[in-house]
Amino acid sequence: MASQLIAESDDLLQRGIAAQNEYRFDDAALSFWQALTCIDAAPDLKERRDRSLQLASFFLKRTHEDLALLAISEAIRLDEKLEDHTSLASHLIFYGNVHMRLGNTDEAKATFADVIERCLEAEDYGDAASASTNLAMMTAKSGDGAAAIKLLRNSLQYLTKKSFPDTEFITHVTMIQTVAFRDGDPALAVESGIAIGKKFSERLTDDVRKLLVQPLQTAVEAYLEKKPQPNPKAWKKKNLAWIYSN
Amino acid sequence: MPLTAAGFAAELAPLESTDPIVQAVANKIRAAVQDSGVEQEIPGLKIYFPDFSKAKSEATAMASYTKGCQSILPSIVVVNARFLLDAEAAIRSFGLYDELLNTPYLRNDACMFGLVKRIREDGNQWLQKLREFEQEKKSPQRIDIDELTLTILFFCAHEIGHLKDGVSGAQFVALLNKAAPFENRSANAAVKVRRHASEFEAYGFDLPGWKGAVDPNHEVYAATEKLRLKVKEDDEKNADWFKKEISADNAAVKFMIHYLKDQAPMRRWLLISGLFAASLYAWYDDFLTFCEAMDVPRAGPKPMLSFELMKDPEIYIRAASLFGDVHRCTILRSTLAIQEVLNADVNDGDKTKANATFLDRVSALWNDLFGQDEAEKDESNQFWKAQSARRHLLLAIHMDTVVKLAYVGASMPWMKEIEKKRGTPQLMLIEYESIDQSVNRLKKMLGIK
Repeated sequence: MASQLIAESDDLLQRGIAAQNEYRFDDAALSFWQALTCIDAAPDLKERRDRSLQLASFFLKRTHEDLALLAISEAIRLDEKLEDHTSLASHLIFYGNVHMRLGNTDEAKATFADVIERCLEAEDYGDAASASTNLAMMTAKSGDGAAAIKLLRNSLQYLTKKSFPDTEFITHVTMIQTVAFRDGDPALAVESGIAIGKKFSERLTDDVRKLLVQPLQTAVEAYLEKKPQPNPKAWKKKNLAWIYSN
Repeated sequence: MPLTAAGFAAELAPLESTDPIVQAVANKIRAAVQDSGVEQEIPGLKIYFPDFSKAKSEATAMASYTKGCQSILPSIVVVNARFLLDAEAAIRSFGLYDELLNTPYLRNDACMFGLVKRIREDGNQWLQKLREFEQEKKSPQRIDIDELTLTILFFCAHEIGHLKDGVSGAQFVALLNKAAPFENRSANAAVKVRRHASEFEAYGFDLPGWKGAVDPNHEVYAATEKLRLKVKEDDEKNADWFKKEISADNAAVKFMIHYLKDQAPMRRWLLISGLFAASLYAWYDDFLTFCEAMDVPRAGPKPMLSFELMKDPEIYIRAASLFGDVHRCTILRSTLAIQEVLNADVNDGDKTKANATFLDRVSALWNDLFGQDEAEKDESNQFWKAQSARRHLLLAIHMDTVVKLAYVGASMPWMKEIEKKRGTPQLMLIEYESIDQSVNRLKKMLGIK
């Protein structure tokens, strides 16, 4: 029965895609909605949960954020029923990210705070770090630089217990930006700059470099003023070659 | 024999909706009405929220039946539970997005139609999912019931206004009926849309180059006036009803201002948000009905109106059905209601010139409101205030389509005369604005890229 429902759901998705390609967004919205509801009757909870997650990603890609929110909520509800705490954390992060993208600040912040608490209790440090970094981004955006930096430091602390390179890279990038825009301690930005150079040089695309060079150079100057080095030029080349290579 | 109050009670009480949200909203509304003291003016006032699907016989044949809300003299207000649930679905759908400009339904007209179709075809399930979604939210923010209550309270206050005026059988909205034939009498259509155009003009919604339609000294007006004389009796009756509707709207606004006077500002923002969602939804619901019945492309008002009306100006006559016979334009009513509720907060009066456009007045009002609270520290209140301003401005901007339809429709008799004299048809392409164009205009006004 479940596979029949999934096949039906797939068929509705195809109809929705065809409608959307013809700019019939009204018909697409209806087909996609039906693709979501037709799996409600699937008896296997795990299969239903996995399908809900798949649909949430699909709807988000197709810019039907309302359906993405409902689909990921369904996946979360089923995680709870299945007592699958590992999936629950990552699905909650997904849910929080959709709210963050939509500008639903309160809900996104509350979600990330909830994930941090759950994950620390379950000693799931990787997800705790992801949630903490996301929460830091939102906190920095709403103007509380000190709280954002504290959350970023927490993330880096969690990541020492479980390696999660994607999150670590994003955390360092966010740290450099937050220090620059919210008047943080330049030493923190410098530490992040050094860590990026050492561990993530392969991720340094031109765009990322462009984004970070100016704030990091400002932080370096402030740092060197506080902690002068005998040969600042050599120090820069040695520690932060990726922004002082020329 | 007409039913007595006891007869209506016997008919309606057993149908009372058992939906928990409808019941919660009904209780809040009854309490608010009781607190207002309006029962001193209307003794024995009763508000029913029937679920007409429970009726044993054909519901539409019942004396108390309404698709929306209605007043029944001397003291009954009926709110069809289905109407309330559809309003709830619209409010909750828009409520998924705190930031108006991120609302996907506003990306284009077809996206708005997508929402309408989903609510029409699968309203209960959509609503159920939205309710569950809100229950499981992580933040403490739960605003949808309050938002719905304030919106429906406004509709009930309109009906109470009718009861105060001694008007029975008046409905809050004229929902377009797919089964009923659209307007096909050119005189009625032109006269009706001219009434709306005149009202738009009085509030500062004009259409440069088309003012002759509402200027009694102009030949365009005269051409429609000639037709009006042919339907004088109907027109006078409709004009009289139109005045009653305006009076009931004014009573509703007065009621809401009094009700919200000493309440937290957030309550005002919720009313604005609810009126915005309910009226924009109602407009697109009617528009979809119209497009489907006329078998015209439903990509949205822009291509539909611009090209179809150019090909066949007779559609202007049918398009008059989008305006109720006796009701004011839904978007206008919500825009005005919001304006009045907010004006009550600005004590130093209207600073704009008397001949300013409505949009100028709306902008000035919001400048005043933001200026007053420069020292305000409540971040959440500031956020919702800014969002309310956006909703109010967007509704005012999106008046574009109805304003153009009314002015151009009211000018059709004159154009017909010209065509007849000249012996060739006039080709006319009017640019109608889609929701995304209105949103872009709003962004431009706000300086947002």
